[in-house]
Amino acid sequence: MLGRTASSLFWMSRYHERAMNIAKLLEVAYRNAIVAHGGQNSLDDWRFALLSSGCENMYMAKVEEVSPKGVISYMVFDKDNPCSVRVCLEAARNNARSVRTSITSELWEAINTTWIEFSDTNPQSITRDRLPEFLSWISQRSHLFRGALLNTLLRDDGYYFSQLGNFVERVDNTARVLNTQYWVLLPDNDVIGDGSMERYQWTGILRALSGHRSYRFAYPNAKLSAQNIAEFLILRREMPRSLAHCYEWISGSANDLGLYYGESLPSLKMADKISSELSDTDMSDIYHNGLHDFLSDFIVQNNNFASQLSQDYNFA
Amino acid sequence: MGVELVEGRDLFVDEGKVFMRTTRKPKQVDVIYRRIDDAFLDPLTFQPDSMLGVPGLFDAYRAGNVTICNAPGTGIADDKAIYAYVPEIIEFYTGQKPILKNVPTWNCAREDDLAYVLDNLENIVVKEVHGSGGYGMLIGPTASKKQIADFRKVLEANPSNYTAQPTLALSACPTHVASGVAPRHVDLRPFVLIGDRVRITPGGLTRVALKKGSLVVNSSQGGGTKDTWVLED
Repeated sequence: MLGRTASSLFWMSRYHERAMNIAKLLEVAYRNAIVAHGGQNSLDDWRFALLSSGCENMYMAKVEEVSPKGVISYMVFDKDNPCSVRVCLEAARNNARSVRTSITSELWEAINTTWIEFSDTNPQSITRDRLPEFLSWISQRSHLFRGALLNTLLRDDGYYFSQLGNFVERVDNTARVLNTQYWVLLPDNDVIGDGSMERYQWTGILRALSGHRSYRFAYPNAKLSAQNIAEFLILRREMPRSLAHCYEWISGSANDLGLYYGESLPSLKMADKISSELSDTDMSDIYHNGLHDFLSDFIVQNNNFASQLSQDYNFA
Repeated sequence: MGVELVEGRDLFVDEGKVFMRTTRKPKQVDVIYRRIDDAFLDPLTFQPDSMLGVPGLFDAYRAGNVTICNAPGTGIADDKAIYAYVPEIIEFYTGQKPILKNVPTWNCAREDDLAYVLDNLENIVVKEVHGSGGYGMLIGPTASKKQIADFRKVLEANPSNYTAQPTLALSACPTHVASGVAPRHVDLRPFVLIGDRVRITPGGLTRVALKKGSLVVNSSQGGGTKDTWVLED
């Protein structure tokens, strides 16, 4: 397979995953901003979306003032924002297009129709009231993309590169969302006053990572607590967006790729190492060494893995 | 067919050989079917600012380590004036008369041919010798009086830039259009490989003019394609 083909499959998945993650952040901002909560300025909810997606500085440089309208337009439609939904969906579609013959028609139709319908949408028509419906459409299209990929793609090297792109992006997003608000996840940050403030921040994080309902299943008898939430999103393998779960898939795909090509390259060793470190640790270790440092290190390690992968397999 | 669709950046030249960048080890390339113009093939030999080409490709080609198909220089066959000489070329090289007849072609660089073309503009098709994509041409039978008069001026100003042929009755084929299925004009390009023997590839390119009555099948002007099977060669 051409290195460029591997690169396109990897980035097709990465960008599609990123588009959905941005939609999720906005969903949380929207929901939290309309729910009244004492003393909290609802603009902070929109700022949370900007911060977690890492585009706050660029936004402030361009738009200057945080407003719901400004954030929606910047994060969904802005062509100059490298992580707007539009730019991600277009990049995902262009990557898919350049490997059109290596993917199935189901996968291509999913990704191409999403892009066509998205670009037919007039940004003016997505007012604050219509935002939830539109964001949920983006999520659904993203699920369709993943479904088409999992249900139809041949299990060869192309599949492994697509999976790697998906999980590298997903795990980066989880780590960033946690790191943006790591202080609300510290164990000594247990409930102050009536606890409504914490509950609102915690559910925001859980919802941004599609884990609000499943948290209740994973911890059936426990209340929301900083330590449980952090454990759920970092170490619990059954949580499909946790760091541990994502790295289980990354190391699995890296190993499959090694078997497929019959050689073990440095990126494989890195994935195994990160994955086993996540199995061998627990929350008290992480808290002991500092949650913020742990997450920041993890983001760097994940980036290093992605660049080693592209070096190993000649992503042009 | 197991043939990779590559861009210039997917290839590189090392010690006079061409390689493809793959996810594993570099893979040597023996034959390149290229779709870019000569001038863009190799920035070290031709246009130095070409981003499309492969640096060093021409050295590999000269050393005989890669076959470029179509070979550099063959673009001359794209010049439509050459077409008028095809029967003579066949006779010169084979000593035989051609088996398939040429479409009669008038080369406007010749005085007699030009006179005939100017007298018959409303019946024939006139094309630029280096034209492509269905641009810069006149289809006499469907052109307006004004279009013909305008074209006459252009032709008279630079006759050697043009060739002309009778308007061909292109076949039609059922085609899916907005209102249902309707006849549209098509042409067929078979691909003939000549080596130890002559073979025709099982697929071909069928171009279809999607506009009603149109004879312009070029994709750059809204033409489409049809799946094509060649059952027997």
